[in-house]
Order: sequence, then structure tokens, then C-alpha cells
Amino acid sequence: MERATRALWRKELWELSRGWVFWVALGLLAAVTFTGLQVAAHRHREEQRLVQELATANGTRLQQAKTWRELAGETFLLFAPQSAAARLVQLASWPAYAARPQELPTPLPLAQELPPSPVQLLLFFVPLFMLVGCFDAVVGEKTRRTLPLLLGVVGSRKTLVAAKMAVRAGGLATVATLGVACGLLASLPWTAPLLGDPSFLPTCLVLLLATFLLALVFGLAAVGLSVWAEQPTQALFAGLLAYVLTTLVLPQGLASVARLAAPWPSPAALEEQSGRLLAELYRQEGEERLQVVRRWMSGGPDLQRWAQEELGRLQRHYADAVSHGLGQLAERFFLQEHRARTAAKALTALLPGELFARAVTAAAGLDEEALLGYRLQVLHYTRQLTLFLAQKQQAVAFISFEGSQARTTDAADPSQLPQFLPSPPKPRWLAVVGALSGLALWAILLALGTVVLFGRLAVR
Amino acid sequence: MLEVRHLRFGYRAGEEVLSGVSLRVEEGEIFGLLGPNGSGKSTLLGCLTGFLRPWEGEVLVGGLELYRNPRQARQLMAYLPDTTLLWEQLTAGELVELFADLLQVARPAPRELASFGLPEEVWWQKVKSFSKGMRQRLALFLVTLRVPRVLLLDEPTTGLDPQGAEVFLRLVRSLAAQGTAVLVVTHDVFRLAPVCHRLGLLQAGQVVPYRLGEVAG
Repeated sequence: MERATRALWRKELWELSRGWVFWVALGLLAAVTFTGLQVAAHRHREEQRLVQELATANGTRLQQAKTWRELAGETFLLFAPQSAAARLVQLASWPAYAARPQELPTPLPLAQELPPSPVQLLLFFVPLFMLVGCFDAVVGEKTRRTLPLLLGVVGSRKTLVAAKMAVRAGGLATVATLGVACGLLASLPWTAPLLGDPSFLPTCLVLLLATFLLALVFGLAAVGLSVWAEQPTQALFAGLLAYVLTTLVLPQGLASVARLAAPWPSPAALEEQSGRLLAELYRQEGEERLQVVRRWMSGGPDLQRWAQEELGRLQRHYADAVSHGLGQLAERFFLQEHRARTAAKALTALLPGELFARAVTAAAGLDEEALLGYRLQVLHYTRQLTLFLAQKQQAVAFISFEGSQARTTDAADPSQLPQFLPSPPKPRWLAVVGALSGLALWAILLALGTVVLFGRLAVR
Repeated sequence: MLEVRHLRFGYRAGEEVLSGVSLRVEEGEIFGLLGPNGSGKSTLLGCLTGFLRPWEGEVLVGGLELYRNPRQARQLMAYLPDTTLLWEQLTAGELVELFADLLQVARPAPRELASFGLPEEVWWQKVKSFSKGMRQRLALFLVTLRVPRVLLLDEPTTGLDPQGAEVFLRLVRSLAAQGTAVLVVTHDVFRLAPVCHRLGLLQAGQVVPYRLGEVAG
């Protein structure tokens, strides 16, 4: 590296390290990560406790219950099998479902009231810090009138802007990443429940890398705007506009558009569809038997006894219909939601924030396909369990299905519970690599765009 | 040393600010360029430093055409803008070392600041604590670390007290005595006139010779 270039880099580094942005970025991002992880760990502990409590209480209740009807209306099992890495990412829509037949597709308040995850917080803060830290990189020199002084002694304008990009954008991106790393390290003593998960460490590493790249993209963009602008306020407003567009408006707006194509049903619509589906099932399979029962009930004592038994079978059939009907309904809505999400992701696929979230989500093993599969597995298990209880009229065990094999275990033993919850999907490294490649591509495109802006380095 | 030939420039088409400016500054000469506000003095300096590209004309620096050989020509020039705030967070010593590295000359010692009227201890002080006069002298020290063949000064005495201006102009004179051609753009005609060998007036986009006491037409 030439002596002059080294000198420029050194000057930028001095300025950066002595400015408030450096320390604020480091401190605040560390605090955000630390707080986010503490909240995640707390929720994790609370949920584990709740699962255990419900398993114990419901195990007893299941043993005491003699018929399925006695269990109707009870919350008897909670599915909240989130991995530690998922806790870090904390998809807001990830369900902690109660297997309560009449409320099957409705997430519990626990899942609905989740605070923002560390990843969501970083997605909000990191680009903002980069814009605030870099918007005046070049235009600040213009307004201070130091740019002509510098350009008078620096041979090439490109050298100057390259130094700004490398040190200001790259340096601040490193600071942001260090802040997140500090937050992660500081929170370790209080995040024991999360540490046991093997996917936690890879997710953290991807989070750090994705934070650096996200910060770099916005840093380079901010320096590019700074080259273009004539006034610092111009660069700041243009940067904030770009931030609001790429981080808030476009993802939310396009996701809303995508949801129009596959809307989540309202509770009233759900009830109506559920009723229609059950009525149809009842009509198809139950009507004929009901007619037979009615004929028999008007016969002699034997016929009346047979009719009574048939009525019991019919009640079980009804329970079966309820279980199947709601299960199918929930599956359909999951698929609808999945379609809407996929469409939204396709529409916002190249936004830096989307790539950031996708990289970390994939590292946590929560890519959309796997997530959908997992949720359907949980749903399937819930349905089978309900069906089993309905058929037996007596709850004595949990049952799980693995292919064509069925397995049962004492429902009163809460330690058995995790065995019946499907394992979270494994990380798909190909998806991680794909997402990071997309982010890198974006960074290169932005860098090229900024190179084009070099010609705007006019001084008056 | 510095020769400007038929320079034409405007920020928008049809609005010409410089309409064929020609001037020549010889080695060791101080040329004072006067003109009312908005006459295009700073624009002319922008063209002479190569930050603005004129529509027509040429600028020769030590025989090199500026727009065809910008890098080599700039190495012969030094430019001091009108308001130099410098980098407030850095110390004078850091700035001197920075400019020495950028200009690829040997790093001077702290005591050399004294030749520009700056006490040695300011070497370790941040620029934000400096007065306007100290900043101006430090800026001149920085850009002249490598003695330039052509020095361009934009309103160098604005905001300086009489004593500070006197010290600054003495430094400019000493540079001219070393053979540097100096072009000073100023409003401060009464303070600059005694220092300048020749004066010119930028009027209607052209430079005309000017003698103190004349009324600008």
C-alpha cells in the first residue's frame, strides 16, 4: 500500500475512533443484543416451565378422564418445541400451540405477545447506525471546506473515496459486529438454556457475519450518497428514505400485497368454514347410520339395545369427524400462510434486510420449507393424538406415529413429553450459503454503483 | 509559471460565469485578483485547481496543461480554500504527519511550526482549540510542506485580526521570495494591495488590469 493511501486510511481511522458514533454503535448494539438474548432466554425458561406444568397437570387429567367429551374444552397439551437458535431468531409467527381441538389453529397468547428478537432488533438498528455514521463521510468534508484541501494533495479522487469506503464503512461495520459479539459474550452467563442447543453456536456465527455484511452494504450506500449530496442534510434524508424503503415500507408493503392473494381467515370465517366442513363430514358419513338408529329405536328391546350401541359408535364417529375436520382446516390455513410468505419473500428477495433475516433464519434451521414441514408434523401428531383419545374414550398414554409404526407412552410422565415432539429441522447450509452469496452480490452491486458516483465528486 | 488562456465556464448552459478569462502569474510574483460578490472568483479558482472543468480554454502550470496532465500539474500547485475548518478531532502534529505522507515529503519536526508563527506545543493540541489565525497559518504550513511552484489562495485574510493577517501575508511574501507564483483572490484590497506585485479585476467574466484608486466600472 502506498504511503499516501496509508496516511488517508490512518486519518479516517483517527476520525472514526474519536467520534461519538464509534462508541455509541459499539455500546448500543452490544446492549441491544444483550437485552434481546436475555428476553429470549427468559421466554425459553418460562415456556419450558409451562410445558412441564401442563404435561404434569394434563397427564393427571388425561388419566382421570373417562371419555373424550370430558377432555373437550381443556388445554391438555402445549407444543412449544423451539430450538435455542430459533429463540435467537424468534419468528413471531412460530406457534406455541395448545392441542385444544376447538382452538387448534389459534396460537396461544404466549406466541402472540413475543417481544422482538435480537435479530429483528439488529435488523432495525444496524442499518440506522451505518447511515448515521457514514452519511457525512464525503459531504462533511465538502461543507467543512476540507475536501478541496485534501484533493489538492491527494492525487486521485478515487483514492479518497475508496479510503472513506474502506475505513468509514468497513470500520463501522466491524464496530457494529464487535458490538453484537460483545452483547453475545456478555449474555452467556445468563443464557444457559440456549447454550445446550448445538445449532446455537453456528447461528451466532452466521448472525455476526450477516451483521457485518448488512452493515457494510448500508455503510457503502451511505458513503455513496455522501459523494452525491451537496449538503449533509441531503445525504441524511436520502439515506433515511432508502432505509425506510428497504427496511420498513417495501418488505411490509409487499408482504401485505402477497397476503391479499392468500389471506389468513378471520375468526368468523374460520368458524363458518369449520362448521361447513363438519356438517359435510357428518352428512356424508353419519346420516345413513342415523337413519338406521332411528328405525331401530322404534323396534323391540333388542333393537333398542343395538340402537343404543350404534348411537355410542356414532358419537365416536362425531369426535373422529371433529378431529379430522379441524386438522384438515388447520393444514389448509398453514399452507395458505406458507404461500403468502413465499410470495412475500419472492417479492422482497434482494433487500438487504431480507437477506440478513434469511441467512440467520436458515442457520437456525428455520427456513420456510423446513418450518412448514415441522409445523405440519406437529399438527399431524396433534390430530392423531386427538383421534386416539376419541377412539379409546380414555386417555392413558401419548401416542406417536413414525411412518406406519405407532408408539405409546404413559401420559402421566412429563419427562416422556419431548420424545413425542418432532425434532426441529436441521440447518440447511446450502440455504445459508445461498443467502450470504445474495448479500455479497448486493454489496458488490452497491459498490459498483458507488464507483459510478465518483464522477459526482465536484467541489465548489 | 501560471498561465490561463481564454477560460470559459458556467454552471448551466447559457449562464456563463467566466467569459474567456486570461491571466499570467510569473515566478516569484504575487497577483491579487479582485471582484465583487458573485463575479466568479471562487469559480475561477475551482477551474484552476481542476475541481471544475471549463467549457473552453486551457491552464498551464509550469508548462503542463492542467486538464491533460492533472496529476503532474497538481503536484506543482497548492491550494488554500477560503474557510478552512480543518479536522477538529486531530492534533496539529497528526495533521502535519498526514500531509507530509500525502505529499510524500519528510515529516517535519515540531519546532518547524515556529517558522509559521505557531508555538511548538500546539503540535500536541487538537485543532478545535485553535483560533482562526492559527488554523489559517497551520493550513498554509500543511499545503506548503512541499514548496509549491504555484500557490492559490482564496480570501486568505477573511476573519483574521490585523496582526494575524500581517503574519500570514509575511509568510506568503517569503514563499514568493522562494520563487512561488501566488494568485490571491480577495475582497480585502487595502490589506492585500501592498503585498501584491500586480492586481486584476474580474468583471463581466473577464480579468482586467487594476490599479488601486480606480473605480470599478
